[in-house]
Amino acid sequence: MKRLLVILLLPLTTCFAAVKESDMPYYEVTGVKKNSTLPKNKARIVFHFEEHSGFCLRNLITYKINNVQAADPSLDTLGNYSCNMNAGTYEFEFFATYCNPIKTKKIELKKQTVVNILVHFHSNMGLIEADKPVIYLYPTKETNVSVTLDFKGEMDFSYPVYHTGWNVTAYPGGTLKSGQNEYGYLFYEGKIDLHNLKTNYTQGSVVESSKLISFLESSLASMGLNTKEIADFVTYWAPRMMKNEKNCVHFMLTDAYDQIAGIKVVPTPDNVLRVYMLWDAFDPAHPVLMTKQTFIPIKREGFTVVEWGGSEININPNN
Amino acid sequence: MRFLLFLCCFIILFPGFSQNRKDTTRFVKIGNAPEYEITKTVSNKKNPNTVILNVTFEPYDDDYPRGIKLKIKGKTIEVKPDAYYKFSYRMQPGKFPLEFTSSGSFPLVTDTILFLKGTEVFITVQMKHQVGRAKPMKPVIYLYPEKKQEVNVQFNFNGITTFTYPTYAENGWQLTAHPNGTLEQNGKEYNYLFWEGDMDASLLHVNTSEGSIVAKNELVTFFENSLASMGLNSKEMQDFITFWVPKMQENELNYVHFLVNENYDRVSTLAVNPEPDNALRVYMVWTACHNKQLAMPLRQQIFSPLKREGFTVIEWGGSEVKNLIKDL
Repeated sequence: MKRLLVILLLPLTTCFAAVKESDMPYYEVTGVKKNSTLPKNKARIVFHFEEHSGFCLRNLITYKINNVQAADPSLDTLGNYSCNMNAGTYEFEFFATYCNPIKTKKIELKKQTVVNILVHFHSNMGLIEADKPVIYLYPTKETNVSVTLDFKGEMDFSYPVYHTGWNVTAYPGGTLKSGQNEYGYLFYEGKIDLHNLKTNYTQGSVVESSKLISFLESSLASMGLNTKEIADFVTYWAPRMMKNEKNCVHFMLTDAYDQIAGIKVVPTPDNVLRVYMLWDAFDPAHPVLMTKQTFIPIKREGFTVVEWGGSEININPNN
Repeated sequence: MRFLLFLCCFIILFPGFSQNRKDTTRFVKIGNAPEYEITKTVSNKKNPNTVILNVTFEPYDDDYPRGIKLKIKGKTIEVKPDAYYKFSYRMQPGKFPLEFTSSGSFPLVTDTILFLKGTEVFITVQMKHQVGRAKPMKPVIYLYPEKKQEVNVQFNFNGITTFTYPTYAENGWQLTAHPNGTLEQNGKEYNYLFWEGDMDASLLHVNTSEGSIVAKNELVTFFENSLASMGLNSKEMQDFITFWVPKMQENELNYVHFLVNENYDRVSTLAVNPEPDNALRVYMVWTACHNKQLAMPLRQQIFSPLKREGFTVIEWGGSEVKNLIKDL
């Protein structure tokens, strides 16, 4: 019997660990207020949706009332949705892409009250690949340059090898020398936790496959990348992205890029441009509204540093 | 009794436990047989007289089936899965098998399934490839003329080209090449010409008695040595290594075989005008393997280095070809 208990307790402890680690989905009635301006038999319900990364709220949230599909809520920019309902007792169930659904217990909506409900989704997205960040260095004269990164994930690969930093001799044309070898760029790759990214995913573009190349070319050029850098970017990403009919594309620029990896270049460059692209397949079942991002091109004067990378967000919600 | 009580508490208290259990019902691959699984049947009161069929397609070797058709009682339906490879279909109840076909996969016929009216049936399907496909990835072409000159480059690929950059015109790429390798077209500068495609892996005719088995932590050194011995410079090697190593290091061991120069023609031929003085074309075929010891002993491939003199052209590309070799 004792032995049996031990066997049973072992998975139990791992269960505990699993529950503790993750930020769980929940809902909460955050307030009930009387409001006599409402029609006599009505109550007003105000949902506030939140999800840590904000990514899941970019897509349409759907919900059911007493197991019946309700009209799709259109969220305001703060993640709120409100509507008037007949007073009564209801059960709600909420659905968001990449998240487990949340089902409430019975909630009573009393006549002429405003009921606030907080719905906190937990996305089941986790580690994603941070693919091919490459760094180009263009000093005005032959310069010994050191580059150190504060990568917010786990580095899988670097070339030339990163060790505790890169030390290279950089030339105005962009050629980097380390020992006998010449390189065109510094390369690293790794995994990052999507939960740690904070950015406004509602900004960006939904791009058709046939327009992808010209979209990437014009977006990157408008940021200040040159045609060689654009070719590296396009030939790396476009073949992967063109498998989808449409993609959602969001760019994180220089300051936001620090969430992927901070960078320190010595001597200090005059101009830095860092471009990180997040993308995923557009899902016709969950249409997305995105507002276009606009960019101000950097001045490519003095010692210029350019970096680009990206991640496909391809977590199957069933996994 | 105490034990039972404990078990009950355990299940009630920890919903996570039931989730863990779900994981164990994943696909078990048996031989070459196609797989399917009915994961769930629920009642659907909204449609009391019909059946909703929900199909989820699982990838096989990281690849999803294409051009899927579903045959139900002699009627063929074109299957258009959504972004998550799911497909829903409303049908009449009855007792019949489902027949899935797809271009390039083995057909999959399920057992006879009883579909009751007013239900929703969830089924997961995994279709297996019939013929190995190879995706020639990132063939890139570098041109180094002796002086700035107009160059025309045409390639003839033994498959379907899916992507080119800069855009490949009907009469090929027409551009101005500079001695340092910079290529100019319509005021834009490039370092290389790029194309990618899809071909039948059997056309590669890889002689698998030659090649190398490389451990993941030796990949970089292996490529640096092999590619340098062929005559690639360190910038070209960097492009090669940063492209392939991140993909290959997911495997503990890889089998690597190079198709060099005339052997590259099995993938594609290259015509450059004016004719280059020297050309080196390196195509790498690779696959994961699980044992250093193969059924057949491997002969190491040896290369003679290219002379980088005169107008030099370099091309490299590669394909992962799954199940290319049999290991012990």
